[in-house]
Amino acid sequence: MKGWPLNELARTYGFHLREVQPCLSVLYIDTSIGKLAVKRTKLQAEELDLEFRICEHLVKQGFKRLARIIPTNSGRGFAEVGDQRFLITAWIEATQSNPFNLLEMELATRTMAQFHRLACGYFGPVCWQKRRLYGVWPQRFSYRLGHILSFRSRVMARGAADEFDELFLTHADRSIIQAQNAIQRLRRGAYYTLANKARKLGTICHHDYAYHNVLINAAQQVWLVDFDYCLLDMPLHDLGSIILRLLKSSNWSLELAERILLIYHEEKNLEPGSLEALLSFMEYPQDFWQLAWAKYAEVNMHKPENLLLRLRRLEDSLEARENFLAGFTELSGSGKFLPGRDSQ
Amino acid sequence: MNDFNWIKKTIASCYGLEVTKVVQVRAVWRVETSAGSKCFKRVKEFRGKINFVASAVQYLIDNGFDATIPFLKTNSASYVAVLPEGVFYLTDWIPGREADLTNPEDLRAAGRVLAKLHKASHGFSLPLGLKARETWGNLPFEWGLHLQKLSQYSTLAQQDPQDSFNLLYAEWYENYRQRCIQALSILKECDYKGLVQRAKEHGTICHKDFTYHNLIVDQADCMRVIDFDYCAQEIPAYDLGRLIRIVGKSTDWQIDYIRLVLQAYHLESPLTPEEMTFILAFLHFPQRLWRIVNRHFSGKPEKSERATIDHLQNEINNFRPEENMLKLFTAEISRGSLVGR
Repeated sequence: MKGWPLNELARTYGFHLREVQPCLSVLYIDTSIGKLAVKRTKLQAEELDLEFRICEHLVKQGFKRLARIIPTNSGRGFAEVGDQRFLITAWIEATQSNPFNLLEMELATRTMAQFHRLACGYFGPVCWQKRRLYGVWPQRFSYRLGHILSFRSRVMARGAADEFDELFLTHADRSIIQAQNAIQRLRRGAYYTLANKARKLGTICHHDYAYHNVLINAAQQVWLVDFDYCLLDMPLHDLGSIILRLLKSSNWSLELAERILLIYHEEKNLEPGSLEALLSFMEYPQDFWQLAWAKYAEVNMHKPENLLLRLRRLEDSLEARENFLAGFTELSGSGKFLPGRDSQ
Repeated sequence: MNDFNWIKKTIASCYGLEVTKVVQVRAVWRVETSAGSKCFKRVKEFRGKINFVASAVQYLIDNGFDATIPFLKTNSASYVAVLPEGVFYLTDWIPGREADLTNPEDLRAAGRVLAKLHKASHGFSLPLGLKARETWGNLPFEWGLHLQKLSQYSTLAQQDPQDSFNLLYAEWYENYRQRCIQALSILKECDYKGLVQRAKEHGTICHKDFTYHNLIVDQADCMRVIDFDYCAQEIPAYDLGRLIRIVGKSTDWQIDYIRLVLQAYHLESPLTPEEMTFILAFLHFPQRLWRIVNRHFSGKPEKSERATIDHLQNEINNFRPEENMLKLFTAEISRGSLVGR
């Protein structure tokens, strides 16, 4: 295989190659120690060490449905060949889940809850603390709100130069209010209590719980892969992310969000105040910040027409998003999912 | 006072140098002069203290410590310029980068340079006419006092549990109290008085702010130490303890990085078992928490605009990983394996 230093890898891991086949972004290899997936990675050594530690910890906790990382002969979780780093995991005989298949998304949610039940008890080091996020949502949100505020005053001072600027100014005020609401709700509500519980439990998040990292096999068993971005935060971080992903592709359907929450809640109890914290997570204008950041901070790193396209798409969904948030606010105040499990 | 003309005029009249450009960097000004780049700094301390600093730096340099830079003398042969606007001093500007305390090379260099600094400080005695700046021997008293305050603050916190800062502090207070008690009891074990006595006999100087922004890796890849403004007569292990605490925090309490610093120091200037135990005590005391909580309850404003609750959240996130490191550190000290004996 071109570009894959398979001989070096075979030496580093101590296996003999039998068969090689590219498969999406990874390489499938059949070896003397089993069927494996080879992945080229841009992560730093410290991050890969962390990924290995976390995965091993999850296995120790009893979570077996993950693509286990194969250690090198010297016991490290990745191999370095030249200036490139490679990660090898066990090969999972399964296919990527389909984000448009609701049943598969329900299965993914159920698995997430099962994963979160076991994903705790980690108190070791993470990469320079950037990945320990218990209790830090408000400050991170405030920090990014500061960006939006400064971009707004900058654009206002120099005047809108293009359509992106105009759209940005049109929606900045509303986004700022939403960000402030989200931050205040977190600071005043149950968020800190929930975060402190998570901190004491040492909970772990996958942090990239997207359809392509959830594999489903013929027996409807679900496997998780790619723990590249795993971090220490409350499980709501993962839950909020998966709901947001699904909402964006379903034009912000409140029913869908409720359904996902119910399934999660069946497997793992949602504690009081969870919905309120989730509401802040979803109300916070993360996408708006991201686009503004890409435009005004990461200058010349993105094509302007792409950014404009993304901002227009965001604008198109704003009304549905507002309606959803209003509905979710009602839901979070309704006491649904409380107390204890609804099913059983 | 920030303005270019004032600085230009002042440096011309006090040092006889012509200034062409002034740039503010952190708390100092980088001034381009006819004799190269200089660092111009205003000191908050009164004049006696800064004279101590200047003479300590001069002592280190005279004793062969080449990793720092001398104070430049004014036209009237003084180390400081005393003006109506404040007290100022001028040094050469070292071009380079700040040390990166997650970089193994920098960690080794920092350990080595600190040991050299302490060795060069041997024999320092207070020059005539200067006021002493000594902090040695203070720790048991200081930590005891802080513990007392922390306990009072926890009572206050329990009285108003609606406040999120109070709630969190009250929940974690007991953990930190244990740390304080451990720190004090380890300090008793390590013959702290003996360490202080020996330091007094040797006459040692500590930098007291030995951290990344005061460590400059110059263009020849040499590590230089700047800003001795807080230096005082203190036991050497104090500086080392403080450095390790910062390294621990920057590397998320991975003991391998801490070991690099200790070993580099030990190679240059062997550490005694008492010093190692002292460092262990030093690391146990929850200094960062103390600062955050004391600032909150005494109503002193934070330097940064972030809410005190955010500082507390971040600090408490350190507790468990730091605790793990302390356990490893304790075990390695009792095996004597930390500095490779």
